[in-house]
Amino acid sequence: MASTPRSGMVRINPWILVALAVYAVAGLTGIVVLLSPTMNNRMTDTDLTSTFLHPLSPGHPLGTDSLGRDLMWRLLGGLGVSICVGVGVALISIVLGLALGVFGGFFGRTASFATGLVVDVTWAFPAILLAIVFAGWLGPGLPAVVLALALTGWASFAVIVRGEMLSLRERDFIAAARVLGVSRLKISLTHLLVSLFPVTMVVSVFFVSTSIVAESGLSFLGLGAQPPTPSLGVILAEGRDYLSQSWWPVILAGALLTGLVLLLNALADNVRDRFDPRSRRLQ
Amino acid sequence: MRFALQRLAYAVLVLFLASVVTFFSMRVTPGDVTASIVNVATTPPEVVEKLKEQLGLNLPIWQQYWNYLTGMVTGHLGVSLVTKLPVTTLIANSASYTVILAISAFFVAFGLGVPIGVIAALNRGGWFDRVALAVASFFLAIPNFVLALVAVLVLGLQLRWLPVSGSTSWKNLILPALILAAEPCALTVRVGRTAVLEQLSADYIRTLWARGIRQVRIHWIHVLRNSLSPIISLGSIQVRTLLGYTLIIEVIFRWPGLGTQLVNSILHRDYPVAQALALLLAAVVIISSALTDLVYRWADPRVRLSGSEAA
Amino acid sequence: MTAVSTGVVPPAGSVSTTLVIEGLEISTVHVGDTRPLVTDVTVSVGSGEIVGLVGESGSGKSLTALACLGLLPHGVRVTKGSITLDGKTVTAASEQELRSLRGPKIGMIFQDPMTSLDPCFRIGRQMVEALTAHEQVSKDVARKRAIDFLGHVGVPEPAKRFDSFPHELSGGLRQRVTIATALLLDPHVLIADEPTTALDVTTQASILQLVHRLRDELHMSVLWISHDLAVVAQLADRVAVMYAGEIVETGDTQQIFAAPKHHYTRGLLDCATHRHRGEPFGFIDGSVPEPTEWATGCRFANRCSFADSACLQHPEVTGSQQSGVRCHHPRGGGATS
Repeated sequence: MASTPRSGMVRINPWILVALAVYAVAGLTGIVVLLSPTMNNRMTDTDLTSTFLHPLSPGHPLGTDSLGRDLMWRLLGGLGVSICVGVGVALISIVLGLALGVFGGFFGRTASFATGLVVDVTWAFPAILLAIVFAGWLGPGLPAVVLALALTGWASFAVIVRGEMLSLRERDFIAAARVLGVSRLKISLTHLLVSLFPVTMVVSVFFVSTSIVAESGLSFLGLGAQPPTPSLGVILAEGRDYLSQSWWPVILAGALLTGLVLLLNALADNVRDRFDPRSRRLQ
Repeated sequence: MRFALQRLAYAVLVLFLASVVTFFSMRVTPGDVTASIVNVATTPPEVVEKLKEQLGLNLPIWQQYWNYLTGMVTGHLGVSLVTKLPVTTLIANSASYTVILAISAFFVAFGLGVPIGVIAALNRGGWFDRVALAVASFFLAIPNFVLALVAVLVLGLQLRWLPVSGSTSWKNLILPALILAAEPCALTVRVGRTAVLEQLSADYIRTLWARGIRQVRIHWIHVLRNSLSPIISLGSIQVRTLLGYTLIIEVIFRWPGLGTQLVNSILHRDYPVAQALALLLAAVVIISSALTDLVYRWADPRVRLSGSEAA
Repeated sequence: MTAVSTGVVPPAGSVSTTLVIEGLEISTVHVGDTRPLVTDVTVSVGSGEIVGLVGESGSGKSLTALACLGLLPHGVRVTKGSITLDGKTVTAASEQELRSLRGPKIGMIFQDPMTSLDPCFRIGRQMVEALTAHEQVSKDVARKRAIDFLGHVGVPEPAKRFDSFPHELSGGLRQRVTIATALLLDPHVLIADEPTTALDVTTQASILQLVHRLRDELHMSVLWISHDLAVVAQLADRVAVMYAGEIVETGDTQQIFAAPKHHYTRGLLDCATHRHRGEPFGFIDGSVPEPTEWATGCRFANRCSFADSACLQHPEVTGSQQSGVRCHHPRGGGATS
């Protein structure tokens, strides 16, 4: 009765992929130039004679900042740094979350309780706090930020993994397979990874998005990338001090960052729809 | 009732572990507070040693932890190593600022978010729904410090409507509170909308229609009541992220709350203040999470029968 | 504006409170595209009668029921025919009028007792709410009447149960509560959409007993929808069989079960009846077609062993409304249209 649902798989919106590719290329360019000893001076050379140049000035398509550094190159470099850190942290969080989730889900009630406890203790401290502490310990910089973000990021994923693991243990086919003599851990892991795949995809995209924002935020506060290394957060912080004189560093960096987050969120929604079309009904 | 006690006992356990973490994480870092009080380079080492002894930094670490723990429980939070003021005084001064900010943001977020989400769901597909969703997506994407900067730029500097830092009048509260509320509000709109939509197609709603009950009543009493659970559990997650954001917002707008104080105390290795504040922060998160669990059980009577799994 | 229902003779001396469905067609309506889901349904329920509407899932029986209350889902509409309740045309009524009809004039109970009550409110409160939506009574009076009715439908300790939450009651009890709430409003017609399907056999039996008793006491009309022939056999005075969105046979319960005229009905009976040990269970080859797959001729033809070229023509109903069949080659002889 009633109307038939739309049939066919939901494909990932091609526009999203195009935009992602653009961002990826830009970020990659930024990283390459940043790491190359010969070229990275474009991002760091100060030129006090041409400070606060507007966008579309000759030689500086996006203008310059308070120290005369070319904004376009700094934005590219900053984008690269932010993306790298974001993806790196997301990866670590996923791996850690998987490991602890499996542990908590598979090895009985004590393990489950212990994992839950660790999760709750982790949850009690916002990442920013940890970042500040690590900044005090290791000195401010990207390592401190990465450590802080990774240590706080895994928790939510671990809970999901653990839940799935727990429910899998109860299932009948595990018992059936055991009769055939296969190790219980092996069965569970295989099925776990397969059933968790869609969730992991969606969660990964979200993690990347939140990590990028977190890194930018921490760099904005001065705890992350240290000058002269560019990061979108650093550019925002520098631009803020001179907001009344030049608005474009803030707007440009902000737009770039927001655009990336919007993109990743749209991608996550898309990926989720692809794997679970039921949730489309409510959108 | 039994569940409530269990839940609170668990919260205490977590809090205890959190205290261990806060204490030892600070001590592990190199450098200590003496550098913030005297200039180590020019002061003779014996004086520095004497200072350390005075501050109790020479005691074995376990003793220091024990003092700290007992102090926390009894309310003797010690004295700031830098300013010599009692920690409790310092906290009291800045706590009120943070609480005002957080509560204002909370009310804006839920006070705006829930009705908008509900109305959007009831008008599903209509213009209100589409606009609300688009705006929510935007505010969910834009990082709050970027939003803060844009707001400062547009509202503060260009239009000169609102002050952008300090805390001299209630007007100073507007920008920080709104920015802080933006993301939670957007999330509440989305979650509330989804919750309402799910309820609208539920079987019991059909029963209510078949009994000839007014639409207004069905929507605003039955549907809303049943939509509460997801919204409430959202509230719990929100507290955590809200706390983290409050720190940033306070720093950006130079709002003299616990956030700015915490940041400063850590950077200066002012242990008593830093530890007390960090633990306070953790306590707020832990307790609010426990409270939310309890409220959730009240809101959804079905959960009362089955025990919920320990977090 | 009374629709004249062919062949219905109300019992002498009673008021002819009836539910009359005439030539009903229900379709999904999208932009520029109308697909029928239910076609040419004509059924009526007389005063004090229990009429069983039988069919598998997908036959359109639930839609027909929902249409009687004006509760068709979004995008689905009545496109032909009419439904009349006590002489009042439901299909042409405004939402306001419908709201006043739902409950006091026509009630409906649904299939799944687990999900048909609001889980967040106590059942007593929901009953009072239903009553006060239509009558001006005080909460206390309403409460008393509700508790009375709970006892009437066989709920033990009704005053205590009044304050229970739905999840605290078993499925059988919940259905009793649902029935009680529907009857509290004293409707002229009650539509029951598979209310016992989700219950176990013993609970089912007790609910059926209850309905029998209530029908006798309250002289109520019931349209009982089910896919379960055994239930319908016990309960109904008359039966209408639906297949693929249309009525294929109507008649007295005894007559239908003893000598079914439509081959589908025969098939259903074969499936349901006990066989002696050693005999195979009956079954009908194939499956119920979706509305998009309906044949232009007889919709059952592709599964019928008696189909021939005549069946490429869509059959009309022959016989009276009381006892009719939609078939070119009905069992036991009879006119082909």
